[in-house]
Amino acid sequence: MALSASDQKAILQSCISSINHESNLMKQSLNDHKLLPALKHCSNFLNELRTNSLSPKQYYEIYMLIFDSLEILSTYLLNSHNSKQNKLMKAKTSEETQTPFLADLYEIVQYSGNIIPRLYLMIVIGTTYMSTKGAPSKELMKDMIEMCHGVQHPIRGLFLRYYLSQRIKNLLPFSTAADFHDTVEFLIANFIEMNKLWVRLQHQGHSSERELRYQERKELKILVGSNLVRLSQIIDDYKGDEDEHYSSTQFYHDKVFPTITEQIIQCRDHLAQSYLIDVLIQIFPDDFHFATLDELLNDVFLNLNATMKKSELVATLIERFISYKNYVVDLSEDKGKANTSNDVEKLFGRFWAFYLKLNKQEPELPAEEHSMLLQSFISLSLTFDPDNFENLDVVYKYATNELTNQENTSQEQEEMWVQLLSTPIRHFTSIKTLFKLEFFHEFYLKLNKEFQRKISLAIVDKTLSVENEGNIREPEYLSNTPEIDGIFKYLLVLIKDKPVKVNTATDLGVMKTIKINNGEKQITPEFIETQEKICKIIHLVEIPDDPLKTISQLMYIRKKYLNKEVGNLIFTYPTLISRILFKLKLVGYVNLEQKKRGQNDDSLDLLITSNFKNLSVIIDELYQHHQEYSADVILNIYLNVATVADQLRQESICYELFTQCFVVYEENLILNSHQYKYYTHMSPHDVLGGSLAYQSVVAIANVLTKTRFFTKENYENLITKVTLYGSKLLKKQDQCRSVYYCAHLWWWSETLLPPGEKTATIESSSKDRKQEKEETEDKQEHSDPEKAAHEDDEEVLLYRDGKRVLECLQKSLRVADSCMDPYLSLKLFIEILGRCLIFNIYGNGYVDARYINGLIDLIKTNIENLKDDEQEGGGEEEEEEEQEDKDTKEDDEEEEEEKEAVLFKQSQKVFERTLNYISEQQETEGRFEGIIV
Amino acid sequence: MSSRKKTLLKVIILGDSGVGKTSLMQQFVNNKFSHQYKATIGADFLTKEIIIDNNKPVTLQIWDTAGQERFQSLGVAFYRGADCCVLCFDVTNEKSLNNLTSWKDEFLVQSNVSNPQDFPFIIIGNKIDVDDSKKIPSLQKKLHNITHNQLGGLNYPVFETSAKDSINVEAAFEVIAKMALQQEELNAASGGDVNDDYNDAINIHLDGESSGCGC
Repeated sequence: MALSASDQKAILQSCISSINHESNLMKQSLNDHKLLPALKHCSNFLNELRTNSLSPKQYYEIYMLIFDSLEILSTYLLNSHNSKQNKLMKAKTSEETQTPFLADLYEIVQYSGNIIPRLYLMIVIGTTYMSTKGAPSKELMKDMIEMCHGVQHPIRGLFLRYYLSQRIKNLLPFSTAADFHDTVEFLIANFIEMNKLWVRLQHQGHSSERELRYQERKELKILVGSNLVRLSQIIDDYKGDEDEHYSSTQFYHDKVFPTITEQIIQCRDHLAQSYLIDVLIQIFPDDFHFATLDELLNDVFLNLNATMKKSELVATLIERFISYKNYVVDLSEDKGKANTSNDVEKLFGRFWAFYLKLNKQEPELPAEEHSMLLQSFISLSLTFDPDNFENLDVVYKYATNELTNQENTSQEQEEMWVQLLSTPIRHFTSIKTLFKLEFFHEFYLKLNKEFQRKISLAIVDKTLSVENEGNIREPEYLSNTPEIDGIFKYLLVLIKDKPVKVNTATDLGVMKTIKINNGEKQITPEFIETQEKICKIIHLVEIPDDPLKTISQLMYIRKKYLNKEVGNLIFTYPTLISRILFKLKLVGYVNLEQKKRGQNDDSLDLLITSNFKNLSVIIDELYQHHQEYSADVILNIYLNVATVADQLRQESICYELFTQCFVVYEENLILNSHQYKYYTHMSPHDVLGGSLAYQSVVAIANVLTKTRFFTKENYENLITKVTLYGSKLLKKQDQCRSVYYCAHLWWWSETLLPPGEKTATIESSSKDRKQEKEETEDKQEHSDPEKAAHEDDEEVLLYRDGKRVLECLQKSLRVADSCMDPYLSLKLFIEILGRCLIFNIYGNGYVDARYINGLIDLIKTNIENLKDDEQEGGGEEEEEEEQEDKDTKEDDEEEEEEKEAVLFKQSQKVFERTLNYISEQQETEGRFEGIIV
Repeated sequence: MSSRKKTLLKVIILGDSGVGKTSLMQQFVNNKFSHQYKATIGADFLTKEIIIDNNKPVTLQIWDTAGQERFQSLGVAFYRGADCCVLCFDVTNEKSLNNLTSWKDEFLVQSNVSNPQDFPFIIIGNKIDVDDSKKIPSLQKKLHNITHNQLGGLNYPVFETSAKDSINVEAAFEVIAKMALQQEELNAASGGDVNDDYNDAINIHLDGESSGCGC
């Protein structure tokens, strides 16, 4: 029986041409008003529908051709019937004996030889007849549907009955209750028969063709479904005659629904059940489904074929309800209509009851079914009852207790659980809603780590998202412990994420990684991103108008969550610390303001001090675990905190912090082991270059130079120490530069204080002065004429010690002089000259014109010497390497390729510019008196 | 009995699921609108007789189709012989607008029309009654892009309608009928003998009913 596709195509073509041919002949006969030959041709092309060889789709094609041709016949018949009736009416006004033309014809075609053409002709004539006035519609309907029983071949029968329903759809009577009931009976009868034919098709032919039959049936399904469409339409159209109590919903519930679903259940066919339930859900209105929901769930769904996926049916139904709900909400927004009925609100409970029954009935329900069902229930609850979280919790509780206990949960299953958890995350506008779901977290904990991470990231992203349905929204702050716990308990899994140890897979480039810790560890870009997100969450911790509470919450986060994986502290602590510091600064400033107004609050003072101590503990923890590779980062953190501590007048704290800085420096930075980190590749001539140790010294000095509230003794201790560090650096250029930078520590050039404030450094020094008059007087007279001048009005109070500045510069000079590289030495001299000029402008009497002149002379001599050397050296080189730089030998102005010469030239230029600057200043500003250029 | 020569014009309505194809047809044919959404199963048609060009009666056979593929299992044999194709989209659903081209292509492939280059299509944007805030942002620009894009080739008349409030539905179908009639006449002229015969059949029948059937 099985034909090849090409055979079938050939058959189809011959069918089509035969139909076209016969159809044309039919039309010609109709043109000639030869009805009998026309019917003959009609019967001929209808014979093509008797074929067994076509697939349903191909059969549908010829069916459509025939359908069109029969329409022509129908139009013709209708016209001639009408004109004949008119004639009759005119001719014999009151005579009734003559049977109508179409009634005759309906009888005549019953003599056609083959059943298929006969029935099609009967239907086309019968339905045309029905469309005329006074036709016995009900008899015709009954007759036609009875006759259809004659065709029991599934495909042919289905199309025949489809033709009947297509032709009759606009002719069905429903003007009275009786008519309506008959019509419904008619449609249901047709549906039942078609369904039987359809199901029977499965069992035809050889068992090897089972799959083919299944495919065919799938294609044919819409023919069966069309009956339910008609049924739905007719129920829509019927408005209840005179019966006031008629309700279409009730009618559906009492009459249509039980009959149809009984058929669906009894056929016990998988395809029929899944398709017809789908159609049932799709084509009847929502009200009908609400009315029959319990029956549908408990009587129908539970009695379907055991292999049916109930989840799909439930999902379809719930989707339908959800779009209905959304539509109703839209509608009520537009017109302010009332909300849906109470019945609808209890939907979840009804579905849930069904679910429990289903579980009892089918304890072996696969996990994906559970997941899909629960997913649908969640969506349902979120749509219909968005403020009721009990429903969701019921779902999660059930899932936690019943579903995740199996030992061997597969990957796919877990992914489904993830889906289950993600839905509300996506749905809620505020992530805080999640905290109300007690069992959400319980269920979350049942997942394995990888999936927990997924959910956690989804939560984080939701928390951080600044967009809500296209609108920018305010960030949601976490302002109390439950909220913080609510979020951070999901973050734990991310916090505990470990960077990858070096392994082959990553080294081979299989994974994209970033090396950290001098290449000892590797991390993925995703890891960094995740850690960054945690930091962003830390930024959301904010108790409005209460910085102190915010601080304690931040401390709490650290203790309870962040320090769970010490390896990752370096990614999150800097953010945490800067947040705490910022809040502490606010508290401190307010405190200072209050003090100014004379309101001393000792407890607040104490709080600030203790918070600084706590902060120091945090940094220390960070240092303990990350000193090896991130000492420079930690140094900077200490320095930041120290700056704030100084501004808040926390002298002893600040002093301790600097001491900590020195510890960090001595323990980890002095060794300069992290060559990879800084610009060590730069030439020693470059001021910006230098070792990590050098950078650290400069960084400490930079912060120290801005501190204003140390006692003189403490300040001098600190600056002496840092200068000492500078002088002990490994490389000459680093030594020299750091020391001349440190010279600034001994000479403040600006107050940096708010008006009216006094600096402790000077106050104590003036106290000192009173006690040790001789020493201080000496200082005042010589080193600090300006300060002395201003001492009376006490407006500008600056710590200045000109002698020490000079000492520093001298030290620098000595170091520069001891450089083996004469060019570097020269460069450093010029740099020092620059510093000297600055201090001269500042008014440091020790750095006077005589001293500067000496330095200028020294530089000039050096330049001369180098020039001589160069000429000689250049000559030698020229002899050795002839091809190189022949013409540059005598001409200094011309460009030199050679490095040293370039540097030398640069130095000379810098020197020249410096001299020009001096003479300019002498002319315009009257500075640098006595300096000889 | 001026011109009782009736012409049957076949119109196909296509578009994504839920854009309102059935509603448009119901509104035009039966002046009905239902808030309840019902998926269309398979394909079904309604007919309506209208008069165009003042005195030309035509019968429109309007085929409503299933937007959801799973409800179109038997294929689309009913595209054959169409005289006009209506491409529908939902003004609140950008995807439905973007899918118009594929609906058009699918129609041309399946319908086997003789003149795919100038076969009459018409575009209907339905649901203009909904709130502006829900509509596709900068719809006119996007629509213009789609209809004036030479490659997409959707340079057809556009109607914005509301099946719910019956806005522009009649006007759209009048244009549809005119375009379909033109196409039908074109087919008839270009030797589609089927149509020739068909027209003749009606003519002759109307002129000489006296010789009717004697059986």
